[in-house]
Amino acid sequence: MFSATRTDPASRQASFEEYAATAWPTLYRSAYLLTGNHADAEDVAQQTLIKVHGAWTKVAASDSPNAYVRRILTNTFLSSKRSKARGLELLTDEMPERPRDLGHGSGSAGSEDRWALWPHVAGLPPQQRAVIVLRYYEDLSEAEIADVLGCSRGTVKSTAHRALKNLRTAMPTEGEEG
Amino acid sequence: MYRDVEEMLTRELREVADHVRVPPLPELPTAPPPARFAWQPMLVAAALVLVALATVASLLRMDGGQSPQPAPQPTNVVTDDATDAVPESIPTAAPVVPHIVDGFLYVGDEQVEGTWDLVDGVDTGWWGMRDDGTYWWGFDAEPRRLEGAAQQPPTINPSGTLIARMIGMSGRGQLVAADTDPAGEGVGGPPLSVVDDDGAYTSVSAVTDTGLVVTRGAGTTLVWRPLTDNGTVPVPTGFTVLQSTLAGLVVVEGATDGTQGRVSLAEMEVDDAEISTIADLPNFATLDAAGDWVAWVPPGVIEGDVSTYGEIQVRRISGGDEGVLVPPDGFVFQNADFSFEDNQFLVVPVTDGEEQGWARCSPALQECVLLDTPSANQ
Repeated sequence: MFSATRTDPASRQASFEEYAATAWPTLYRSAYLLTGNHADAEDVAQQTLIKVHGAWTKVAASDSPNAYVRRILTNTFLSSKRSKARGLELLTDEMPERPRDLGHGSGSAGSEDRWALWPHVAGLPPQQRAVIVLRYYEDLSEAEIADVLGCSRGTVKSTAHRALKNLRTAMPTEGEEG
Repeated sequence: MYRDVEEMLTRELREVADHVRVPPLPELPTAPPPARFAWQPMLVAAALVLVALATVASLLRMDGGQSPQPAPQPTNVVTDDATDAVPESIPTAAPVVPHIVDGFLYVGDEQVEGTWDLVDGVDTGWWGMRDDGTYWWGFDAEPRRLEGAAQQPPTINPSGTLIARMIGMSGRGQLVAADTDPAGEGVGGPPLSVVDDDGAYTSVSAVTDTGLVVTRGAGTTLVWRPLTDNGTVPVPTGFTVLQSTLAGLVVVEGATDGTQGRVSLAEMEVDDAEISTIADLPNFATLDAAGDWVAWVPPGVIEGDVSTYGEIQVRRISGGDEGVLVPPDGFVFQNADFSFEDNQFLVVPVTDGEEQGWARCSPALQECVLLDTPSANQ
């Protein structure tokens, strides 16, 4: 599927489309976890695919296309967040979409009660959110996260520590649960 | 320590992902779509206007008024041994400009409170963004909050004496500027559209040491004179001002970024914003210039997901002495802005794959050395 020997434009295009169709659900879910809402998830996932298309030769030839695409996705999210929405988030203190909105408002009754941390994950600063998603959803190591984010392992470690500390603070106590 | 949180995270993130209803794969375009701004509720817009007005008022209170003042004198930021002559060696002391190492911001010899993602300026005038997305500024190691929501980061002039930014999140916003002198003042500028129908945001592309603020985006490119008569004039037709450097303005004709078109080093008249080109510059992805030298990374090298790179091109602004800077052994350049700290030396973030550090490079010697920053000393 990712063979670097298929270099003619037609087969390259077909290969990309095949990849995109297969990867889209995974890509979208990761984008949703990073952004916390459907509108931004669609933007980030679509922009990622555009970038993947532009770099398809390199992606296809990569030892790990998924890692390559994950890096593009994460950096697309971080760059878009820095330039656009941060101020708005800070200004409104608005929580991300509730879990019941996961299906564009179609409802998933009861699930929100199970997710005590998710609303707070989506409210973390972008860098912390990215580290949390890469670590606990993508199951990457600190070294792999550092590679994705282009930073040191020390930065990953300290960012994760701050994120977990924030989430622990935000966690409901036993008396508040249920 | 956080095992309970970690276990909950692992479970909840998977459950949330499983519950997400994935929309159909969109038609795959071959060019980036215009940016889409998804939520602009009226209450938010109203709050933004209030915050924007409060910010201007706050800025104006810095010196109790808004009467125009002469442009401040540029701050001398050269290193002790900086001259236009070829240096004998490259100092290994930490950068003399504010710099971030593994999230810690250093201004002068002091660490600034908080963890940081971005910084620009000099020790006597800088702005930075913390990892929570808030913007701050300072004239020493004490950070001061830049209030007011904004779509774009601030911009500071090369000598670090004047910060300008566009505040507002949608609709009409306002240009504001602040003198970084401890007794400096803030000035409110003209109202402008924050974003146009194509999704282009108004931003400050350059602030000059002569006190000019140049904007771009949202169909508006103008030059504002906050420190003289508060007037505005259009940017001369055909030019896009990309950035301000110690050597002058970087402008492009026939394009909107440095990757194509004719790129030049230029001067801008204070009165009428007339642009005079000084020298041709190379097309670039990132570039800085000071004194006789220009350093740049060509288009295509650090686009998209590239986090590190291996070479910086250098030459004299007037042409000649072309060369390549490579990072110290065992390190690569990090994909973040580099900058001249004076007319001789360029400072560049580097990494060995584990820790962050900084290198100081001499275009004249075509050599880079690792600096004595906290990580480098570990």
